[in-house]
Amino acid sequence: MTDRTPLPVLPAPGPEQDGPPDAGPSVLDRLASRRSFLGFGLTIAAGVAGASGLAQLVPVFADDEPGPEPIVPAYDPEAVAWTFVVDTERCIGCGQCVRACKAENHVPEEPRFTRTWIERHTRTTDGRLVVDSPDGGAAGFPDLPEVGGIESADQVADAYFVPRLCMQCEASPCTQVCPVGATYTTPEGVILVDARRCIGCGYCITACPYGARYIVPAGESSPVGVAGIADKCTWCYHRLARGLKPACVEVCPVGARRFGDRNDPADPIVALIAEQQPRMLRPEYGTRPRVLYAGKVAGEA
Amino acid sequence: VRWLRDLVWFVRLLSLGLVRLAARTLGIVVGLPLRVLGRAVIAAARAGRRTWLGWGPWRRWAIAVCAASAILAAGLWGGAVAFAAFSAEYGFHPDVNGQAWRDLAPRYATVADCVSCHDPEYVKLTSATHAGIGCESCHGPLAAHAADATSAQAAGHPVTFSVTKPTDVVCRDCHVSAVGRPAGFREIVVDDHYLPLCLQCHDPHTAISRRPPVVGHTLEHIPDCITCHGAEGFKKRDVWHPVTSSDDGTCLLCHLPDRGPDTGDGATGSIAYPLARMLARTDG
Repeated sequence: MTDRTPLPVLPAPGPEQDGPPDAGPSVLDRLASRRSFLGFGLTIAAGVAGASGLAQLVPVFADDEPGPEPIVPAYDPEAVAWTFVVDTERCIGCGQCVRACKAENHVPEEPRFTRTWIERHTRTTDGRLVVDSPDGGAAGFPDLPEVGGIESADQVADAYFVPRLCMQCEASPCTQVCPVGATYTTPEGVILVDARRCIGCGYCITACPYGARYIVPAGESSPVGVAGIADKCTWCYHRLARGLKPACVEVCPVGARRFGDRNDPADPIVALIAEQQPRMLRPEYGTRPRVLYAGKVAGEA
Repeated sequence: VRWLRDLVWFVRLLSLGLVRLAARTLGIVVGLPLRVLGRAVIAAARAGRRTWLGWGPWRRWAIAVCAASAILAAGLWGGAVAFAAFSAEYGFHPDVNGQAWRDLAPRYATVADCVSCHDPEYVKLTSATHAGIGCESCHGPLAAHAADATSAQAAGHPVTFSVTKPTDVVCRDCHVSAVGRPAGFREIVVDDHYLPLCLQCHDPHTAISRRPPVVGHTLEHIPDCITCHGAEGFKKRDVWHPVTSSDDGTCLLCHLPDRGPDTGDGATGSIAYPLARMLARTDG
């Protein structure tokens, strides 16, 4: 564009305009339209580039930032390998864990919303497998399952309780399917939900093969968020950094729930795993759970 | 690797609409003042002040370069500010959210916290069948109580946070008969008991195996004599007893606490036989 370009004629000014009719600032108009368009694109590109450059300068985003200050000074999230071992031979189905979880994590009182629950697997004498979990086991269990048509204890060949919770999978389907990146894995291997990003679409609930998630119902709130987002067991993430065990492990009266650091040779969990050889639940899913099960589990020979 | 993780998250978030949002923000932050400025210049030009249109091409280029530089600088800073604001609001880095989860306050303490004050109960517990069970299994979440007690002791005033005593429901959750309990676990049938009130006879701390009271029993957890020794009691009082009142004081006129025979189980405050009976027994 040169300055010899003839100026286009402005549209005739309205009667209310008091400026001279031949005053045509259309060069500026053209400049403004093209340049601002170009400048706008440039601005975006420069802004993003500048922001990413700035990310190296602002400490929050810096790579060598040591991360959030742990509450226990010696706690290194990247050095631990938390493992949860459930022993179905020990569980008595009292429901303390379910109640403790609700109290510790502000889980809704309504029984169908729960982060952990207990199932009773009953094998009948005619070979059927009956699973019952009244209110998730929060109020204990009746003498006989109220489902499955079991009339008396004579029909029961074998029965045991299976405490369930989020498996904190190494290859977790929930983090893979989350469309907004709200579900993520911490350095310890715990899978959390970022309440600020979760849109409550429920895809993770569909994807979880262990049924460990629920949507926070209206009128309730997640510990760090609002109603309508996904919530799940966090292994009491706030307790781990303080050197405490999850609340369900703390209250279990029979030691059916064990928790520890596999990387620490002094931790009893290491000997327990070596001795009892606990297995993953449904290893064929390929999710590689960090919760292991000792004792009988349905679906196994 | 932390930096790799950050990079992955950065790229991921970019793809998740960050660009769109930043562009929108920039459009407002930068575009709006530009537009206002442009309108002002156009208005000025329309008003007849066309002095700068008469400048040579090099001046116009200089102006353009300056303007472009200004826009670029504004874009950089505006983008950075918008990005920082966006990150703060929506949690660019997962660690931001992880810290929020970590900051939650525990409601359950540990046995160690309880023992620091309630040592006698703990010592009793270690020798009982219930040994190894955490305090809060029955007593509920008590981190607030422990914190309150610690601060109260430091300040020298009594503990204000009250603790509700567990009820028999806690006993039944574990011990009521149910299919699926492990072999050897003590299951009870409530109907076989005289009273459905476990704690009136069983002390959960000393020993769950303690039977309902025999001759010399403690007064602990036993508020009322005729609860067990009433007309329909599982251990009825003798017919000749003149006492029909439920008033403990009446019973204790003859059955002296603290003076009964030693039953050898360490129980204190036993109930003594009435003196007349003891004399009769020695005679016989």
